[in-house]
Amino acid sequence: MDKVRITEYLDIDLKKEMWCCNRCGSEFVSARESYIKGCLVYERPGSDVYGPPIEVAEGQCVSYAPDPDLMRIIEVYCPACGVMIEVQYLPPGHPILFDIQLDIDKLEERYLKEQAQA
Amino acid sequence: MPGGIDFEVRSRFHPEKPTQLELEGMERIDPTEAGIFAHKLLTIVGEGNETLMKLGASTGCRWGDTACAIYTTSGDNAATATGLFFHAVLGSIPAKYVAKHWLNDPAVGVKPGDAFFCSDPFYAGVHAPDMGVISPIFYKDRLVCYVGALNHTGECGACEPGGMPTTSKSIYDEGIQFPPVKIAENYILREDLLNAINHMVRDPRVMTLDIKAKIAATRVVEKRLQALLEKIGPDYFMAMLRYKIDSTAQAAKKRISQLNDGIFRDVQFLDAVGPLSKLLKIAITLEKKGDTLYLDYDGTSPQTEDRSANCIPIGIIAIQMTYFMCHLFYDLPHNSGILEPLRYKIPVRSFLNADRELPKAGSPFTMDVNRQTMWQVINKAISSVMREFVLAQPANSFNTVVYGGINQYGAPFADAGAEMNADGFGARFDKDGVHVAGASFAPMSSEPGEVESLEAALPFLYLYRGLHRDSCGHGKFRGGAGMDYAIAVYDVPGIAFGSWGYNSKATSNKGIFGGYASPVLPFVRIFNTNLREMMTSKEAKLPCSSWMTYEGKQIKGTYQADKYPSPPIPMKEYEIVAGGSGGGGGYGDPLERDPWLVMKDIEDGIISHRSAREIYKVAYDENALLVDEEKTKILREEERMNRRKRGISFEEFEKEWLKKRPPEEILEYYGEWPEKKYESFSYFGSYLDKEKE
Repeated sequence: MDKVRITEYLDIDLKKEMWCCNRCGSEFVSARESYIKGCLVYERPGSDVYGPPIEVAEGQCVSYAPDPDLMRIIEVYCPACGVMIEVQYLPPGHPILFDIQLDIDKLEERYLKEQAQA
Repeated sequence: MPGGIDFEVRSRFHPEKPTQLELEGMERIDPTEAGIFAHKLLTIVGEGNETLMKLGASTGCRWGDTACAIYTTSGDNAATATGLFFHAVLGSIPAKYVAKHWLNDPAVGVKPGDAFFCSDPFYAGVHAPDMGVISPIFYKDRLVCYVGALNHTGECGACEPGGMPTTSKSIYDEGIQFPPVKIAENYILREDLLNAINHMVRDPRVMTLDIKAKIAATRVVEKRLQALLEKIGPDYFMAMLRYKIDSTAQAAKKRISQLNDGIFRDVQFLDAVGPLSKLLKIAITLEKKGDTLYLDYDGTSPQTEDRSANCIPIGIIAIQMTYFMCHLFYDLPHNSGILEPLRYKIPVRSFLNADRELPKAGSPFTMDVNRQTMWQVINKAISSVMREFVLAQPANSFNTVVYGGINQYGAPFADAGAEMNADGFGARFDKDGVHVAGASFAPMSSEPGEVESLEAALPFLYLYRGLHRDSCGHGKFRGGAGMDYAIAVYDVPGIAFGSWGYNSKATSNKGIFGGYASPVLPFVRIFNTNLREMMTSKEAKLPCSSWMTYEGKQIKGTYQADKYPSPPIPMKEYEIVAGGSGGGGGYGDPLERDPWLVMKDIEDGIISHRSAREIYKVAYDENALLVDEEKTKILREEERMNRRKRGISFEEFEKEWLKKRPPEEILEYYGEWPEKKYESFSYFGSYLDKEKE
């Protein structure tokens, strides 16, 4: 087994040291980098997900979507099959998160050891 | 240093070194006997916690914002019964304070029958309305342990009723705050001290009954422990307490060691600084190395000098027990040993580690957002090897109503509503989240109360309570829905009515692995209503959900779009507030959700037709709720294609994205944009070993 499942939609190919899509198998980027660098990214309007504001009085609205001055929605897709790998909620312009940085050497060591034992 | 502020004791969160007596005793312990002993202790503290809940009068006591625990003579927690896991470790510091300051003090002393009252957030970690009693337990004049009973009493004489002011400017606006002080001697309550406390709060009845309930809980535990001590003797008993902590620590480390080594990051944002809609950031970097988790908060916003968002590290660490004790270590005993593999590095003068005198009444918001951040990084750290443990975040907690005044019986009242105990929980990799599961910080005991009993106790008329439509985070598996409610002031001329919480501008919930966060939550006030006329009319149709209230406006009146939090203001009889608690985060891409489950959600009122069409891309008959599976497949494939068209490369995206920035007024308290870096940190646990590498 060369691929290790990391999240619902992300595998790491240990031989190639690459992030891969768990659904379609396409390769993204080196496993030592952020997987997002190999993905497609899109800023989704809050009202698309949570609906438009509702006017309760003249000039006064309630909304279930985050206020875009405070928070935006960033969607991350597999470039090959379009599955949505992750969604980040960030203030406008805040750097995108490098959320998972595994110790690849330790990971390889662990899985090679497990394979040998199997 | 009696009389001074003790900065040392409040940092002693992790288990103390075992005493020589404990070490020697542990060598004689048989693990099977230890298991039986652990069960016995749990039964005993369980009875103490039940006593507290039954005898206490505050809203918090009634629904289980309580804990009862046994502490070693060094103050480490050895056994806890609680609904609220952060109290499980918070009681440690007051016990350590008593052991350090009063045990050998000739003027105070610690003797059989004593009880110490504590409500100072600096030692108890949260905010002034959380109060505790610590009682020493003796066996034949030898101190063998302490017993603590803690709960959220609420009203504590702050600048707003209910104990959690949003407008406080320093701790001196936030009510009474006692470091451990002797409230009972030789099994007799000190009426002079109780009387003094009652002169400083708006609701002396609740204060009195809650204090007596806490003392009673410790006495019940003491009685049971005496019988146990007769049987096994004090040396073996004390060694057993230490053994429990030690074996729990070993088990926690073993579980951590199963995870892959690596670094995991998250940021989360708080949208309320006191009553203001400003942004604060919590940044977390989790490094998993061997059997230890290192949590570094560099990058977090600075302390807020004149607003109540501040917290202290005890609270930051304690709230995380609501995750660890419920999830990752759900099967381990609940004691201080759980802290052993957790090491913290928290920047000094960040709003997670603020100066003592700065306001902290809003610290639960901060604690909660911090818990959500930690929850997210742990999810990412465990997903590879413990997929079954992954759980999207629950709702942000604490959204509720706060109120005060004279009730329908002519008595003063002030408290926060049990509406906060109605969070939807997050989705898992194989199932949806639970609706209105409880407070995410107290899932074992909290519940939002029964409407008839709330209406009997408070000058309220509930127009409706139900599942809040579209309050869940959407996903392959969706989060549980939160609660929807509207309350009218009833049977009194008026009260002060407000909201407590956050999350009306920026969501602090997140989904996981392609799942969406739950939405932000509106809070609406309706003044000068025609509710009285509607209630007597046969034709009038009262709304039964907030969506109906907001969209239909069947109730005539002056609508005001407000938010969480909103300080209490006068509202008259028949005037209304409407709002909701949050839902849980979603798991996975919504396009992978079984379309028939989407139909079920519509049928159950969990989601709207709009969400079924726009988020889940299901083709169906809106009347019969029958799915067209072929058309659904096509719609979903089209959406995946659209994603590939509209998505751009990270590099290209970042070029434009990094030019954006929130308006300056939103960043008033945020600190340096986009991330503040610190030079000075407080460490909890032996983090320094890592720093030296």
